[in-house]
Amino acid sequence: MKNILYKFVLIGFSLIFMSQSWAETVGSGQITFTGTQMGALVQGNFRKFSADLHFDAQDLPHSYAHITIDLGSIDLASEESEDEIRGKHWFNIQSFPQARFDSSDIRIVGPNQYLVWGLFQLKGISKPLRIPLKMSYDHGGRSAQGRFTLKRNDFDVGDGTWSATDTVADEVTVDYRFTLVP
Amino acid sequence: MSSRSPAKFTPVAIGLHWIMAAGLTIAFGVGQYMSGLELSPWKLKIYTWHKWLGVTLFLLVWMRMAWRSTHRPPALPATMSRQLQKVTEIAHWALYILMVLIPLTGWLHSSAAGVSVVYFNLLPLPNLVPKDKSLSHLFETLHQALNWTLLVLVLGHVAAAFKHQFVDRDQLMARMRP
Repeated sequence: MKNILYKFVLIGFSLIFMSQSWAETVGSGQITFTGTQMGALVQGNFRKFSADLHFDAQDLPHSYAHITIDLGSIDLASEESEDEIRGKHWFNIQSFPQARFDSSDIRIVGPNQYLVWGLFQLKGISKPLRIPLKMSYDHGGRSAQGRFTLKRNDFDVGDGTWSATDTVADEVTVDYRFTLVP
Repeated sequence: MSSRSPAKFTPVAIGLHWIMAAGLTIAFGVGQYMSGLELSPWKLKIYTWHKWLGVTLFLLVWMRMAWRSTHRPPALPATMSRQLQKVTEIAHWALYILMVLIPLTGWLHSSAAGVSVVYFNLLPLPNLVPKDKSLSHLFETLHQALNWTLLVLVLGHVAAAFKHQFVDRDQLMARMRP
């Protein structure tokens, strides 16, 4: 009897858990990236961004991600390289201070694995982007994380003498992680 | 002490000495030149080459120390005072320590900056510390300070060699002639 009751509670609890929607905890996220310079990996991250995330595994059509990145908040190898990347050849933050991602469609592709389609805006250029998303459950919260690759020349990031990819590669790998709470 | 010390350095020791002398001079000169450059693809290239040279020198100094510890160098001239022999010994130790620490602090600086080193585009070296800007600045300052210390010691080393050659006329430099 006790055992059955216990099972009911467990099933009930997991049902609640499954249907719950989760939103981002402010300030919990990380957006890092890795570029390649002369064949060597270069790490960086953004210190300031805002993420308006809503995720419900049972209601994907109403789940969404709106992310705005303050490009000036970049953390790179040195102040010199940060100043350079804020300049007109790279992000040109005077004219385009932010990058944006707005999801339009989220689909499940495997257990806790999703693909998020959306529009990415950077340096005045908008391109569709598909971002893989993995949900994991830890310590009563959930984390949403993923990795994808962008081509900087698609967005004129690093133009002029920088556009050649022998010194700074075209591909930039972006890693993100957000902690979600009910 | 029955075994007599050799009259000349071994060819390997002589080779390593001059290869490192040339390599250190180039790495120092390039280091001075590149830090003043404006950021450009050329600057990134030359930084990478400087790092490759630094890693090479780091490997060579360990080979050199291994060789030195297994091959007895010629003794210092008996005409030198005990104190001067001691100073010479300390100076040589300091040169070896700097030749280890300088590439190491360069590697630490690059690691803390979040820039990995891939030796000749083939061998990725591990980042020794996580990305941390204040740490990066600290290792940069240390790398520079150790380089200036090395420069002073090397100038002293060259001056001492010339003194032996032209003042004492004891033919000391012949022991290191290639």
